[in-house]
Amino acid sequence: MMDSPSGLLFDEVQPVLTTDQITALAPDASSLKAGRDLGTPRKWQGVGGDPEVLWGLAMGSGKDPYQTRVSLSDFASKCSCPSRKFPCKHAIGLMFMAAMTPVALTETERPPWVSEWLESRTARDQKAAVRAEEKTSKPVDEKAAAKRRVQREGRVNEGVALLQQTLLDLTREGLAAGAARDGTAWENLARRMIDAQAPGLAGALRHIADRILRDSQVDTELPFELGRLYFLLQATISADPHDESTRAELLAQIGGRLSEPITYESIDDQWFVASRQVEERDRLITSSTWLLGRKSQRWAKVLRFAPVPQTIAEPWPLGSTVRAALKFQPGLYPMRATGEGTSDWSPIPERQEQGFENLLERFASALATNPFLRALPFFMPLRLGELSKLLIDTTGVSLPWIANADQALRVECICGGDLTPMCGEWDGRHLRLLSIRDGDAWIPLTSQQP
Amino acid sequence: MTTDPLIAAALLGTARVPVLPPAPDPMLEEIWQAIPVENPAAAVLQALALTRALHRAGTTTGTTTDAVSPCRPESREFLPAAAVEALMRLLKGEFPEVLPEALRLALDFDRVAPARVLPELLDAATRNHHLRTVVPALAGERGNWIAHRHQKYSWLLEGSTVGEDAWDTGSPALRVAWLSQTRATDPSRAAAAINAQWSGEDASMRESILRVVAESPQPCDEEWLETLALKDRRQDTRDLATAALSSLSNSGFRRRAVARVCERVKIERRLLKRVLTIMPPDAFDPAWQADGIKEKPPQGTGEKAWWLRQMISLVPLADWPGMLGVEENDLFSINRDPDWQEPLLLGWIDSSCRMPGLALAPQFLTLIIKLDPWPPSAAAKSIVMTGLLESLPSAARFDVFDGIVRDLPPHLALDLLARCGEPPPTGKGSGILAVLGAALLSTPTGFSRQQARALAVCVPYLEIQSQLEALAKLPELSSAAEEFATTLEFRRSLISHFKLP
Repeated sequence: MMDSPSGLLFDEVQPVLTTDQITALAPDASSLKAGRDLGTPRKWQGVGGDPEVLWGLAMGSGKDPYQTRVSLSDFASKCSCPSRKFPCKHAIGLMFMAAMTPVALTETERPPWVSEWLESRTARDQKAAVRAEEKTSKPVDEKAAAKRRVQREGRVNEGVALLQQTLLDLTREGLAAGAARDGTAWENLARRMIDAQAPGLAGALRHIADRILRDSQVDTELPFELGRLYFLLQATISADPHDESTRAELLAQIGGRLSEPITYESIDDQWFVASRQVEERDRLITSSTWLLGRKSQRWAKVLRFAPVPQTIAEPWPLGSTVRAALKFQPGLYPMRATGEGTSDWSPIPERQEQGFENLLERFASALATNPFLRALPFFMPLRLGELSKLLIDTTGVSLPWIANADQALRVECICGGDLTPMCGEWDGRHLRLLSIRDGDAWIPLTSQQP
Repeated sequence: MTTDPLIAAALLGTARVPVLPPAPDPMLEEIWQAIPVENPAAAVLQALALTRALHRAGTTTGTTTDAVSPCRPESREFLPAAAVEALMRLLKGEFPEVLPEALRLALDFDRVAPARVLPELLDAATRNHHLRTVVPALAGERGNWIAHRHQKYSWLLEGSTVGEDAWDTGSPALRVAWLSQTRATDPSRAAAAINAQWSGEDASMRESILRVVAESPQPCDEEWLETLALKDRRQDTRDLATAALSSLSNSGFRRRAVARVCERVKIERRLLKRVLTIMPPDAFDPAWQADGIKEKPPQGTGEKAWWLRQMISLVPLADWPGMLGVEENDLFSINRDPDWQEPLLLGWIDSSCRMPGLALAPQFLTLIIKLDPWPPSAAAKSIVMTGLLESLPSAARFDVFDGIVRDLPPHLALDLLARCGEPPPTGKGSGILAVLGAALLSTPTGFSRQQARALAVCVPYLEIQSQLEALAKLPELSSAAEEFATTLEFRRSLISHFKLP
């Protein structure tokens, strides 16, 4: 059994609650600090909890204490305080106290205001389900839908045409200087792709501005990246409309979605939560999680989004194992998945990729299937090379590794020259590490907060 | 500059290089032929996409035998997960005043910090020298291994056991380790080694040597301290040499310092009073420069007063009773010559800062407390007092505290306690803790949030709960008292992580 991280609520029951999860829920640093300070029994009365909900009366500056409750199924919360932040510091404090001082949760009988809240949530969920049902059973205005689709496709096509022409113009003029090397120009173009409802293309352009232009091999990488992008645009224009996988892949790359019902591939497995990276861009928080199927050995990428100031409630802590039937979105090499499930603290998987040769083979065949693929995840024991930034596998062969100084030092400290299980991505040039094992703990190497 | 013709075409632009270069690899020949070439830019972009895929899919592994040499396994257990989490919060900047206590607890617990904590732990101790005594043991084998690989953490090795060749062939940190190790068993040999290599050392190594030696100088060090270190270019090195020579009980330097002052001070009887009279020097003797006395005074200070102050500052306060033939307890109660009182006091204060261990701390503190106004050109009163208190062992420190606390304004007493940053031993410090309790009950408390955290660290372990209960009874807490209570709660939680199951 893997050691569960400290701050684990209700060890044997679900869901788990870790301080990392609570930290990720905090809308800002001041709420986090205030919440941490409130995570002490001294500031609460009538604190209780069960596997479904936490509750307590927070002693604020007002005459009456604030009624705070947190649902453990989705970390939704409600508090009678006047704060406009969500979750408020009292909800965060209540979660911290439950995670750090569970003995303080002495009450076991839910007060009426907690039961009423849960009942109202259930009723609201039921109403929403009914509305959704009605919506799906309601006859669709085919004409209006078709009009919207045509409008959208028109905007996307305009965006694709604009970008394609820009790439041609830049290549004609030369990529060694000028607009091709101007990050602001790429950023402006990315905004135009957002307007054209092609967020995937916007992401690709920001990748150029953020990474490619700062790459030490920019003279090679910029032409290659623009080639990849042009190929994507060309494929979008000339793709076979009857090939569902290709259409789905291209739409996913551009940032759209299929208008007709999607056929999902479903895989039921125990998924190890191998890595998570949380980033904010243009006031949108994106959480990207790699899951590794223990039986299937399939990789699944789960993306969650939240607009600022909202936060993402992550139900699956890093290093835990989720029992779920994940639904894979169609594509040329399906990895993006969605699903629901409960997590526990099973041991870190032992069965791992054989080595770099296997990874390179897997990457080459994945790239043959999906030429737009940027990177593939891996999970294997590695050790550090002495001279340059190299990682060495169990067979003694190496691949280059790219990391900032902080990450490199932490990895060096954790490895100590030994073979150490790591999770990361291989993009055909470099390994990028995302998480690593330290004893019984699974440690993130990337940002866990926006 | 690239030699790949396709990349060159893209970089230069197809307006200049309008012809698609040949396929870079036979595998691409067939598909290369299918690329439409009417639009050269489109052709180049498509060719780049193909070449990129070829490169990415065709990467090969390297064979290397230069894996990092493994670190020795830890012989002790790791800290429990809850303690690690608390330690990480501290290392990331929460409750910074609690960090030294947390590190001491971890050390007493005889556990090792897990490797993931090391970057923050080593960085904290690199910034704060006071943490360095406890961090090496806590960082364990892995910390030692990292210190060998990263120059910025080499200080970690200064306490390690090293071989005999370390002085001649080791890194600066290993040489310092050799010095400490050798001085413990054979100080003469260490002194001879320093003497032999001083001229070849760089300035920072000389200072490092002095830092080791100044902690406990030996008679055998006197020669090189006098002839080499006292003449060093770096002021910090000279100051350390001065302090080391002053603390050697029979050094020539100390004898000269005492002799210089002795001929200028005496106790006279005037009516019923004894008066400490002072005769300042009339002219500057160039020989004094060798002992670090400067001729030119700072702006606003007279020459004689400046020379006098420096002379007095070189004499340990502990030498004054013998010099004047008075008891230690009487020295500071004797009336002082009003004309030269200020340089005398400034010299005493400077001396106490330079050699707090030889400053008759209990007696001198009673003088300092009553000193009003405080000389503006002296170091801050609270810093001087903190230095004196810190020179005493913990029990003696709180005995002194209890003795002087009634004469101190509460805000100064609490400031000193906060600066000491540790709880009093059992049975000590009741006076100062009473002052703290009273301040917490008053609004405002009279101290800042930062001081509140530092004061919370000074509450003895066994009194944390009762202190929290007392605070819980208050109808409302000021922000400082709230910070105090929050810090106490954190400490309570922290300490619980270090209890054996």
